[in-house]
Amino acid sequence: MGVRGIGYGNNKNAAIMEAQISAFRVLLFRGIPGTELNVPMIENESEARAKNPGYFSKLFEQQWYKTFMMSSTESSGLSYVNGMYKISVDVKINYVALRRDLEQNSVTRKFGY
Amino acid sequence: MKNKNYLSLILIPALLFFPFSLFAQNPATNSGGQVQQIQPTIIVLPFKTEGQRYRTLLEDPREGFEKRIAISRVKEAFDTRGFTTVDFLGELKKLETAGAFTADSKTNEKDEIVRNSGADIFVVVDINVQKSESGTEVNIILHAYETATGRSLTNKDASSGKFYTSDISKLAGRAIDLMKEDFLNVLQTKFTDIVNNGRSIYVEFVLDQNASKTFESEVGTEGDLLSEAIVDWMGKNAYKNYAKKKGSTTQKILYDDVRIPLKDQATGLNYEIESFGRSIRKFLRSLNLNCTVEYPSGQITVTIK
Repeated sequence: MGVRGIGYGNNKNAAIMEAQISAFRVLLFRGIPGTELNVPMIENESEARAKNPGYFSKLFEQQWYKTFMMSSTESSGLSYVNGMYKISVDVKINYVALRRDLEQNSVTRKFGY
Repeated sequence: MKNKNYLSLILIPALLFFPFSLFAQNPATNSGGQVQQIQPTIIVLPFKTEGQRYRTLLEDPREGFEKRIAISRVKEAFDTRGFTTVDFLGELKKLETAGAFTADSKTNEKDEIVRNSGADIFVVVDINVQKSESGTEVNIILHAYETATGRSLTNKDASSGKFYTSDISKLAGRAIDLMKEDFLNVLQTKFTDIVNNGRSIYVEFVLDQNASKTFESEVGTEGDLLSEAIVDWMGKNAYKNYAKKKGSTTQKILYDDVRIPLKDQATGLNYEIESFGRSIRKFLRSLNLNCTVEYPSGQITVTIK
C-alpha cells in the first residue's frame, strides 16, 4: 500500500521522518477515501492511544514503524516554509504485517467479535 | 423418630454433595477461567434469481466456473484474515443428500442452506462477465446480510477493468482484490458495533390457540396487561435498553431488533441467545404463565400457553 505523507522538521531527516509517520497516521487513524482503505485500521484513535500508550510510543517515537515500511521515496524537493523544512515522501507500507502486529498486540481485534 | 434420623442421615450428605457434583466444572475441560469469545459464522453464496437452482448455476458449462472462482476468492479473503467460513458446497451437498430440494419443492434454497449451516451472516457474491471487442471486464458485487434480522451489513462492488484476456478467474480475482479490504473493514466496524452494543435478535411472543390468557389480560400485582408487562420487561432486560418493537396484534407481539450482549455482564462468560430465552421463560413463569421457547436461526419464538 503506497501512501504519500508530507512532513515538516528542523532538518531534512526530521522532515522525512515526520512525512513517513504522517503516512502511517493516515492509514491507522483516518483511512484513505476512494480507495480500498476507506476505513481506517483503528476505529477510535483516542481510545486506542489511551489504552495502548506503550505500543504507540514504540511505533512512532522508537521508530518501530520502519519495520513495516517497504520503501520510502522522496516525491518532492526539500523546501523551507515558515521556519521549517518541508518534504513529501511516498511510503510503501506492508499493510498486512502492520494489521497483524496491531492484532497481536491487542490494539485491534482480529476479524470477528 | 428413628425414620427421621435415618432420613436426615441420607438427605443431608446428598444435599451437601449431590448438587455440587451435578454442576461442578469438568476438570478435563477446565480452562482456569479463560473465556474465548464465540465468533460469528459466515457462509459465502453465489447470487441467484428466483427459480434458479444453485447446482445448475454452479455446474453450468459456460458460467459455472466463474461463480465458483468468485466464491473461492471471497472465501480466500476471509481466510487471509484468519477467519474460516462455512463451506457452501458442503452445505448444498448435505441438503441435496437429505432430499431437501426436489423438482416440485417450493423450498427456498438460499434460506434452507443458510438456516441449515447455522450461519449468522451470509455473503452473496454476484459476478457479471462482459465480453466485447474492446476487452473482457468482470464486475462483482458483494453483499453481507445478518441472518437473524435480514439487515444489510455492508455491500461493495468493483470492476476488474477491461483486458484482452479470456482468463476470467484472474479478472475476478482482480475485482475482488480491489474491494475485499474495504468490504472486510466495513464488516469489522459492524462487528465492533455488535461488540459494543450487543447483537441483534428477533423475538416473537405468540399466544397458543388454547392459551389461558390474552395480551389484554391483567397479570402480576400491579394491574398491568400482559402486553404492557412484556414491553416493560423487554425494555429493562434488552442490552442497553434496546428492544425495538415491530408491531403487535391480538395474537402476537413482534420485536425485530432486540440487543443482547455477547458476554454475560455479570460473569464475563459467553452469553447465548438461549440465556435470554431462559430469562424470558422465567419472567413469564413469575406471572404464572407457562410457555415454550424455540430458537429458529438466531430468533426467539415464545409461545404462551
